[in-house]
Amino acid sequence: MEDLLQTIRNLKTRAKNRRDLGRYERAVRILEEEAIPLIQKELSSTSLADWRAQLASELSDCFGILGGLYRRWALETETEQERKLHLRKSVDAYEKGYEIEKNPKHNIINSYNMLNRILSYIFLEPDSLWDATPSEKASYGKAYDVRQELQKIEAVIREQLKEKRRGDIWALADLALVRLLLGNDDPVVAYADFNAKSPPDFAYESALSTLRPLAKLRLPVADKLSRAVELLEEKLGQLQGSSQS
Amino acid sequence: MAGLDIKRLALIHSKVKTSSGDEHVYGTGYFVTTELVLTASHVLSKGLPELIEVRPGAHAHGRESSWVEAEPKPVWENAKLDAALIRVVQPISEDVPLPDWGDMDFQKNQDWDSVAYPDASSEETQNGTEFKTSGLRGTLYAHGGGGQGTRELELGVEDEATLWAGISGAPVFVGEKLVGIIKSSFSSFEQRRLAAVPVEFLRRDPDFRKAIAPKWLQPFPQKTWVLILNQENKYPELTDTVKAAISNRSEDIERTAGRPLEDEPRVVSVTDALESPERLFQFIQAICAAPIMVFDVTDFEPAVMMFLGIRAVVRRGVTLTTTNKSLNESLLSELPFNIQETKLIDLSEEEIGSPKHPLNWIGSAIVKGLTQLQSHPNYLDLPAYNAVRCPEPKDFAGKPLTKDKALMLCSFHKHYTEHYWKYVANKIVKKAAPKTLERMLDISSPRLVGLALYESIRWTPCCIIDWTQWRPNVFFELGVRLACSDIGPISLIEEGEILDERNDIGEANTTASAPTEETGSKPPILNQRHQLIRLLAPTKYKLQGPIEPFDKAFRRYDAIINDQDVSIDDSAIAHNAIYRAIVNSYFWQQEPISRLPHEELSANVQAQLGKDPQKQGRSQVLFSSNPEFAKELRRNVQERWIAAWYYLKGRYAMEEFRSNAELRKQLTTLGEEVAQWLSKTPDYDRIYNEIIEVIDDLGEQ
Repeated sequence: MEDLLQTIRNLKTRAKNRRDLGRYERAVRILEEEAIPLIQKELSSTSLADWRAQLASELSDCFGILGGLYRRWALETETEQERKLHLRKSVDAYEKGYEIEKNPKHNIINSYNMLNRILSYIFLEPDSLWDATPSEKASYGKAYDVRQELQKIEAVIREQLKEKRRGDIWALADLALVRLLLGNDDPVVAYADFNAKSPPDFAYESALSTLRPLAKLRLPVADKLSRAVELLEEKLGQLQGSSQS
Repeated sequence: MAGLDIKRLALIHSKVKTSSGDEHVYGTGYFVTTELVLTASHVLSKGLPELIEVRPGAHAHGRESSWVEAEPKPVWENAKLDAALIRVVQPISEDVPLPDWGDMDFQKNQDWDSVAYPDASSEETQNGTEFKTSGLRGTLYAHGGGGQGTRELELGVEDEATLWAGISGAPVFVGEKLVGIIKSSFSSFEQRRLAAVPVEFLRRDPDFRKAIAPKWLQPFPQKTWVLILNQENKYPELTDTVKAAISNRSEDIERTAGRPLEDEPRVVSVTDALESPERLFQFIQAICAAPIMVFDVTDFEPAVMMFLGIRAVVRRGVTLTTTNKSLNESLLSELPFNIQETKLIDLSEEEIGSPKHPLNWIGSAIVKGLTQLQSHPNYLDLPAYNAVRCPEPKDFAGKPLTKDKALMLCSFHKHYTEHYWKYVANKIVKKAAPKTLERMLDISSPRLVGLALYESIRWTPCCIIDWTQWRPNVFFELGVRLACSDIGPISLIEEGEILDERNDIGEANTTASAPTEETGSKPPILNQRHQLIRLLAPTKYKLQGPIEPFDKAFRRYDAIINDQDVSIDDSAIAHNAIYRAIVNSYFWQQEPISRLPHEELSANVQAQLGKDPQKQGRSQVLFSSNPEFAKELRRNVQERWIAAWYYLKGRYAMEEFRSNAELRKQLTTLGEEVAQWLSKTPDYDRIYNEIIEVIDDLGEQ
């Protein structure tokens, strides 16, 4: 059990390192051809509830990493066609992760895929953030009522933060971003709880990797997003003790 | 029992390759079982021999016996004593009862005899060397062989001085008893004196006794297995309950432990484990080996508690304690303090759907225990393990604090305090002077009582344990001491209490059998009390009696710490036998120090932060939301990873990583982990790039 989990963790680490090096194709292969099939195979062969839940959690995590990979790849791609292709794949991967994440049998308390599928969709359809009615010419097969989804996500995360994810930096970062996108908070207020946890640099990097490109979109909250980028970069700079800020 | 049996005599030949060619050594041995030959260790070559072969002395159907191959590594060897046991690959067909072992404390000189294969009796023939046996006899000098160094048997030889080469390892019999094996000749006395190793010394070595004993509980399964210790007042359903519980969760257990599960637990009754020294040593070996162990502690029987104390010292495994008495608040408050920290499993719960039903609880506890054992390097389910591994306590000048003390482990029951303590303490302070007597209550260390106690139990050379009242705590502590100290305790017991199931205050002793409600008859005395007394031989004293027993006990202690010979009965064990048995059976792989530096650094980080810190959203480190601490924590974790990386990368040449797939995998896996931790920190760019370069170079793109 521990050996398999370790193998999965190693594969995830390898994929993330390839992602950080910009070797997206390789990173995708590690997840799609090694990690995900490995977990799915084990899932299909076991009936143990606890073990299935643990595997499901790893599987949804892998889909989440995959969704993030495709998004970064999309944002670095030069052609519009490829950008859209990778963003669709990103939404697909997050959707798969979300399907697992929301299955009550697995008892996964997370918001990773739930929120990020909407974020990738915003990259694909920036107008969706202020359009109450989903676009009929959507670039993605499925249209989301983005504001309504974000409001639902906010409620879910708030509920999770009460007890089961109390003090969880990822939940706090997700909530802050949702509040910003909905125009409900200023960056300092939105990220106050997150910053109070003194998160590690990888958490700031992760938050910034979404905020930076979001801030460049023509969104009604672009200004708040830019200020959030500045705020988190400053915090990260302090943490790393460098002159990044 | 027969004396010397010529059919069991063996000629031993070992061959070893040297720079100047093959070297051949011949000697004599004696079959003590159908497959084990006792001989002198110098008969075997110093290095690992290329070949050891044995020719039994028996002449099968009038024909000469042939050479039989033996395992090149002795199954037991004690170079200091000069004795070894070698195992022949094919056991001899003769019926071989164990020899009648003799001791070495003779009051007067004895006649001895032997048969050996001296070189002097060999003849060169056309077919090569023919080895002939020669009889030997003479006088065993009762008071010879003593003095300095290890005691030997001094044997006068009737025959003319001769070339003694080849007789080493020959058995020495006095009457029917095997008392020694010949190891050398004296150059003085016109070479008409021989020295022999007393077999009594061999019998004191737990490994020797284990080697010659009929196998019990062994071989241990390669799978994950469960060892159950039943108390003497056996709860008949325990085995079935455990068996059903592990069967219900077998898949979970197998996945968690990473290996198949042995369906059948090994079940031991505490009285079987105490039946003989051989059984005891084999059970100790099982305690060390068992990944999962279940103790029935319902009546807190003394031997069960002693074994629990031993387990607490030797194994960071999964240990469950069960009771078939309903766990109400009153019972919980009366538990021995060593047990209070452990999670007792109540076997009396009858609601099958309840998580507390033993079928559910035991299975679940095993799975959780195994999981936590893997994820928490400091997992413990019994006290004492960490405390006995603390370094020796010393004062500011570096002087050991325990040397000037005598540690007393005894009952804290009011009755003992009122009736025994003053008398016993009075006697002990006289004999232990100038050492100060210290009980648990008197330990002046500001550390937690439990930690300070177990630390003292390990490190205080002079440890006195009064068995009087047969208290569970005392026997747990006895087990701890026996397991972790090379100096056995001074065990005492008041002679009136030895087998009395009720103490003087009329209170049923916690370790006696419960009276039967129907008859109100006197419960039987636990057999294990007799067994413990026989095996550990406590010194009996009489309340308000003379000081002699204390005198005797402390003389014995002085002999032990001065490395003098301390005679023991063959049915008892040496003062440090349990410790010695554990040393050779200890599952040392569980010790962090057995990990390589990069493994240790990695384990250290994971123990603090978890195995997938990026996935989990909450820091595992308490107070790490303090910004300065968080920053320092992150930095030091990164530095540890860097240290792990440079250790492993620098330990081998790149060529070795390229040519060795396993090493390569280790380095690239570690490199990936380190890179993940450094990739977001600009200060580490150089090291990060270097790691990526190495990983790329080794083929992982």
